Amino acid sequence: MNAPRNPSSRLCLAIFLLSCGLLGYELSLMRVLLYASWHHFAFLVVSIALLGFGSSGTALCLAGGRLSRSGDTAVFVLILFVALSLPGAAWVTARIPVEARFVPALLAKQIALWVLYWAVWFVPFFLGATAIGLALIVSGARLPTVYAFNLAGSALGACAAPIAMRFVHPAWLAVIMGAVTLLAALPLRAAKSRTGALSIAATSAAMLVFVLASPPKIRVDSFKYASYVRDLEMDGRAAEVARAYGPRSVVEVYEGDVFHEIAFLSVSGFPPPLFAVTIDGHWAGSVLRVQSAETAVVVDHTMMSVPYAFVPAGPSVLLLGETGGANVWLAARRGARSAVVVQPDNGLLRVLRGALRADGGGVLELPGVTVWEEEPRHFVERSRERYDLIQLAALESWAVSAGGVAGLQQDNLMTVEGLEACLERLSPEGVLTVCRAIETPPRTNAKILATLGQSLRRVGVERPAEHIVVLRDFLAACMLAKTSPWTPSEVATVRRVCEDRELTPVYFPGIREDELNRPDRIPGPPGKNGDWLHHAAVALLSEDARTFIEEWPFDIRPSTDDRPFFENFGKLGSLGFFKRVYGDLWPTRAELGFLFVLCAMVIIIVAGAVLTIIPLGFRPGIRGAGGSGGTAVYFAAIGLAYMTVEITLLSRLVQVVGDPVLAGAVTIAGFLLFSGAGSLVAQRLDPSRSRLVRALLVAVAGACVVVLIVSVPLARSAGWLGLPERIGAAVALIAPAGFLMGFPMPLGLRRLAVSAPVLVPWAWGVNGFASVLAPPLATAIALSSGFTAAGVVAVASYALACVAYGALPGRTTN
Amino acid sequence: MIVRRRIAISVLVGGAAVALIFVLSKQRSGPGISAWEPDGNSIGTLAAKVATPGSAFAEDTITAWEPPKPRSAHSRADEREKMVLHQIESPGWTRDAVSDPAVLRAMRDVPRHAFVPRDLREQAYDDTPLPIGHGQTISQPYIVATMTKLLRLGPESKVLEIGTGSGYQAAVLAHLTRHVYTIEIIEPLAKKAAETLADEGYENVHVRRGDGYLGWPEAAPFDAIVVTCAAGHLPPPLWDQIRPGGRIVIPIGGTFAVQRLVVVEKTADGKRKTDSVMDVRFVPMTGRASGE
Repeated sequence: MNAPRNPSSRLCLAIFLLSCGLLGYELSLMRVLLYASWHHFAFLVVSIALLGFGSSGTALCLAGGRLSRSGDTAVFVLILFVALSLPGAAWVTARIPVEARFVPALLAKQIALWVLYWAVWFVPFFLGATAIGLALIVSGARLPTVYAFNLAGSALGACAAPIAMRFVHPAWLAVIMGAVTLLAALPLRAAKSRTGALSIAATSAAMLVFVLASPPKIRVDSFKYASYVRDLEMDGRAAEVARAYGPRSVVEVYEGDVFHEIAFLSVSGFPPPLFAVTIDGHWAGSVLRVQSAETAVVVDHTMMSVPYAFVPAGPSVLLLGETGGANVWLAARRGARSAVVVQPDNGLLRVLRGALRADGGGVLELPGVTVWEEEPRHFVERSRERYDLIQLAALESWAVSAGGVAGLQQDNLMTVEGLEACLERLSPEGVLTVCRAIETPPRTNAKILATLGQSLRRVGVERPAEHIVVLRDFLAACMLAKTSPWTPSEVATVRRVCEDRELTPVYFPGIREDELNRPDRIPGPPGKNGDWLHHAAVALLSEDARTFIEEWPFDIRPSTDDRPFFENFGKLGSLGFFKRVYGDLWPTRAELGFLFVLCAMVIIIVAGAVLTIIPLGFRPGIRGAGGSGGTAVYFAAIGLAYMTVEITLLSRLVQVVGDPVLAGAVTIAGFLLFSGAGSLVAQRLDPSRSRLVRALLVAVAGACVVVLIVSVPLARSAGWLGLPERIGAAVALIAPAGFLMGFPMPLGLRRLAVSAPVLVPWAWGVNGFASVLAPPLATAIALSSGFTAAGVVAVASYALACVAYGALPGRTTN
Repeated sequence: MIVRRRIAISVLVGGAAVALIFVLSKQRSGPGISAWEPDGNSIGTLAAKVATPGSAFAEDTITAWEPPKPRSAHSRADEREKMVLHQIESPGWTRDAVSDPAVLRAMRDVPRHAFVPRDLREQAYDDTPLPIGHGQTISQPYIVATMTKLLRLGPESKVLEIGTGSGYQAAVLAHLTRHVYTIEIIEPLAKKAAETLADEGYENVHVRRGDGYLGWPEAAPFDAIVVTCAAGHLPPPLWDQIRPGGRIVIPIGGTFAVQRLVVVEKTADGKRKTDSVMDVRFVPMTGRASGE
């Protein structure tokens, strides 16, 4: 019995809206995770989505015959389930207590909860992908048209989700996408029947009641700052006073007499009343509730005031990533003639200039203060101004010191190239400074030193050891770098400042042994006077920094644009060391970001195998079929290559676009659109022409190489472009490779459809499995070896596919 | 002869008066009330009220002070013995052993399981932090012992704890000194801790609900301050409330990150001297006492 024909326009519209809702949901998930947890987990979100698509393919292969006989009724029912499952999954996951801080006694339980968490998010993808797959099956000859609407809808979803994020709290995004998905049911023929109309009405009512009875909320990791602020709110000790949403972040501001956080405050200062600012649930800074520089005297007692002793009077100051404004007050109190604030977060600026303007936020409007809403890296690349003092204020926040899973985040300023650009913005006697918390053993400060050392060399400094000074107290270290060597009189000033402010010198040219590690003692090498940071500084600023880096238990290799994961300190080879030293507490000390990716990869491999290829492997006809091995190699290779390129380019485009969620939207939508176009054009090629197909595969590999190479200078010059231009440049970058990358899959499938149709589901399943595996794999490679290495893997995979194409069943013509 | 008789009668009458007052105060106070009062006013204990400096029976009270005898002390004593032996006294080469006899005695005597939720009491003496509700965890025994050791308390030391949490650390401190003050910012935690401490018979612990950042100025100066929650900086009020020669033990570092346990000493001339002792992990200054 043939599947009933459905007017393609209705089906196309339904699939368009469903795809819009699904992809919007995928991006929304990244936003939700940024708020609820410690990272957007883009690689995992993409994997889960692809797992849904891959396993739906397997499910349709095994049971699609029965479903396809129902025509669009089955699609209709599935769409209703998807519409319910989107807010449903959000409701369930808000009640699963996942945490990124692993407590040894609860490790197994915490991992199990993470698996459950992802399993719940998987459900809507699976249902939605099954609906799309079924629609493609029942559309018959109109399949390419339906497919095109699928891609177009996905692209719209990728554009619409960031817009929605600007106006609604992340908790409501799943509900909105559910509503969009529900609309997808309306055009279908099944909706015209009485049963269909009642079903839609019932589903709408259920969603409405559900939302009213249990308003959406996000469960924030109990170990995030926002979580304990909520406890204070419930206790009446804190109150939210302002909030701003955006694809980049959720900014929340709280008042309460219990907030006292001022970074690196000494015992001689007392904080005035202040607002606590959180960005995506992390403490991001405090806004002093003062009206004038005279009343902001507390800032003189912070570590950030130290650099002012080493710059000319009336300096020009550049504050990169300033959040609460404390450093602006400091600049004003120290008589700075100008202060430039660079802050990319539009939500934060709206809050400071809006709700807080009259109560501390007005600091941004002081005379001589200029604010740029821009990525700090883009600013320093394009600016031609010189500054006497450049402060990397973004690193002062404790939020970034959480390490662990937060190590997966990219920081495009704290790279060798980024700091090089900062050094080039210094006036001849200018100082680049960063204040950062002390850690034992040192890692962040050590990495800063390693990166600074290389950056100084890139600007022509031969002996970086003569250009850096490090001071500390028991809270934080203050690093000061100059492009000119520190003179003897400046070194004398360093000694005087240490004496006057009870600071401990860590490193400066000519430092003596007896000056080390007092009055604030921190651990150091046994039998030696200095602390570990001193010894790290000596080693890292010498010619033999590499040995120290290799032997250090944390990954302190200088961060680069190719590997911009500044907060990633995990070293697999050090796990044994941490277990020996810390015993059962090693998970809380080992900087788990990399390990998290590896664990995710293992779980994804198991899930992918169970849900995609194993069921197909046992299907009659597939097991033992001739050519199944070659089929598996070809389709796995192109699946691996495709997703590796996409994930790698996504990370690169973060450097171009600036915002990870926007970059994700552009990348995902761009690849869908252009690959879809490529797939449509591929219909006109003869898949039996082996030489042509191989040439195409070589061209694909070549295009990927070109794109990955071009992305580097594009990232460096992106600062000259506005946001629409940067997005346009990103789209233009994706277009050629994305278009060509749409060819291999349909060509291979059409060849199998003719010569070995029984292997088509097998090919689909293997490709799905490889696509699911690729994102965490690409992320792991990028973390350890950089984007270039990930790109090499992708190109090698296309090369393998080129060879394997000849092993596909069927006659070839040359 | 007459003088001796008068002295004897005075001592007997005074002792009887003291005993009577003790008995009456026990009968008036119920669980959780004897040492805690809302809104930051601490009633204080009878010994603190009666024992004014210079009085004869004040001296008798001071010299006669003995550590509390918690009601659950008899329960699971063998587990505590093993905990002290394997986790604290001989913890292995990765940790510095705690050998202070008073601290070890306190760790043996305090019924840790009484401060842990019922469903986790089986693990109460394991070498691990444990969740105790309200999103917090109770410190590892080793951490508690180490922090207590670092305070260098004597029987007359006045110690302030910031972050009461479960009350376990306060209970341990109460075995070393008669003057324990502890602050908790979140009311349910403060009440629960006060109830547990009262149930177990800890009468020398003053529990206050308040902002630990501000310390306890009315009871200052302190000989020692222990902060059982992470702080980004040393709160200046705590520095002001520690006497010269005193010390503060505080985990310093980013919230929800790995911090350093730092001993901050105020020298005789009021200057600061610090020593970072070890890595720890505490949740922030909300009164959630946790640590590992």
